[in-house]
Amino acid sequence: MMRMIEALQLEFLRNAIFAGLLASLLCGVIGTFVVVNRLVFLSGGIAHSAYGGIGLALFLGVPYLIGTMGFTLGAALILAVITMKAKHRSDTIIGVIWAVGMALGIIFIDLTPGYNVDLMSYLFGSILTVSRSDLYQMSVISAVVLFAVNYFYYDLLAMSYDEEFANLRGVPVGLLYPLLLCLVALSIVLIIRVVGLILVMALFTIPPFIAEKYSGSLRTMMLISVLLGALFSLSGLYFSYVFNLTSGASIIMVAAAGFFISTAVDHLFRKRIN
Amino acid sequence: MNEPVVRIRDLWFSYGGHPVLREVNLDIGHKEFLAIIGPNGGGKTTLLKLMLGLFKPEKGAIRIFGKDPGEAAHRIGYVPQNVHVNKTFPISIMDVVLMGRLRSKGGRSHPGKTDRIEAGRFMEQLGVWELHNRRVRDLSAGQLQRVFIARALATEPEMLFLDEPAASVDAQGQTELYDLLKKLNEQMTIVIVTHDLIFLSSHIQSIACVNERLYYHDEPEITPEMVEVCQCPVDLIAHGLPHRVLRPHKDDADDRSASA
Repeated sequence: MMRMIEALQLEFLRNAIFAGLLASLLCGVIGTFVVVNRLVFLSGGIAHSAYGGIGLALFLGVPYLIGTMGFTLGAALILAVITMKAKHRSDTIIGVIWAVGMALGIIFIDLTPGYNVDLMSYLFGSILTVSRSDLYQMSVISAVVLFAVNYFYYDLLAMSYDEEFANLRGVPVGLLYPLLLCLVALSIVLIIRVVGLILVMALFTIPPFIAEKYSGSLRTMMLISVLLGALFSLSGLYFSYVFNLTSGASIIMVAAAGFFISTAVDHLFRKRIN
Repeated sequence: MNEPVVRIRDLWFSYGGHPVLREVNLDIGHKEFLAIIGPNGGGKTTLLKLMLGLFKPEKGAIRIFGKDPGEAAHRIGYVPQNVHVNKTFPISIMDVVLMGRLRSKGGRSHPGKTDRIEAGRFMEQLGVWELHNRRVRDLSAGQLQRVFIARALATEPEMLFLDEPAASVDAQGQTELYDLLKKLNEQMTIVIVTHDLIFLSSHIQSIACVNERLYYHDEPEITPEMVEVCQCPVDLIAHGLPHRVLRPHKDDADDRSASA
């Protein structure tokens, strides 16, 4: 206990905790839409295309956020158009964008003189190096995403549950769906800082997956997801600090433990009822 | 008859190269109660969706309230056939019915107190108010069907489209449903896609039989032509006499003796 209080004196740990909480907030809210709309694979495609943005940012010498944001938003819009026009082929297209994004990232880095960047930190996260200015940027992105979700909540809910009926009621599904994918892209850019793009999907899907079973409405599902995400991030950080493990991987392992425990408990409980 | 609320002229539609509807002409009058029958895959649901503007006609014209279907869709209450769409979705029954209040005033969709009261009123009318806090996965198909009808009514429509609303409702529920529709028909036009005309025959005013082409009869009776082209389902002709398929209209049973 003393050790934890001692640890909280360290600025980088305080920043890490704050970054983890911000990521949990976004994962809970946007991840809920990802899970109920079955956009997990599509989000994976956007997340991996972000690698191209990281490479481009290094190559051009511009800040990471600008490169990744541009790339992921572009990928999100392309995927939005394709999945709306050719639904039956969308998984193939996602696979292509996924691979092309990664390959572009590698090639941009090859072309960048003086290889001096720790790429592992973008693949697996580097929450312990989150700086104060990173936190400001992340707060602004979070605020934008949360405002948009809150403003369009009922439209997004209607579109997610019954797109046809939403359409009939005049909900602009053709604009709202690309918007949702852009929000997913923005959240991914933020969460990559915390757990890396390889691991971003787990934090996007596990809390909403667990929450879904116990939620009577989409709002409840978001709330439970946020709380679970925070629990996983903070305990992951704790284990990472105490056992000297990679923070991103620790967070995911805690989330995975939550996933299996929840599934097992659910299974046992259901058996007992029957 | 007044100016028809639905006017379809020479409508053609095909899906993936297969013709679904051809040369369809149809007028639906104000406060008409029309039943659409026909074999599975005959184009009944497609016709509804064309009238709702969800599909675009390949050829021909559809006017709803004198407008393009896309511009008039919000004045139609729609009860889709498949109530099991997204059955595991975490949404409360209240939120499902509130979808009917979406965009009713334009701008941001954010249901207010009035919307909740209105939604509650229609849920009570359909006998599903007790379920308002439940989740869709907890409801039976029949209950969900009623919720979807409440949602359609919550849009305060001038016309109601129902796509096989009785498919998952028991006999008692069907009678209640049809009595409700008859009452609603005093205020609005009703178009119902159905298989069981027997129950409905005393409520409806006209029948359209759809099997690529559309055959219309402005009385609640099936014509011999319909029997032939629409391969009428067994329950239509099981009541004794072949081709003498429907009870005469209750109100004027005497002057109409349908013949085989």
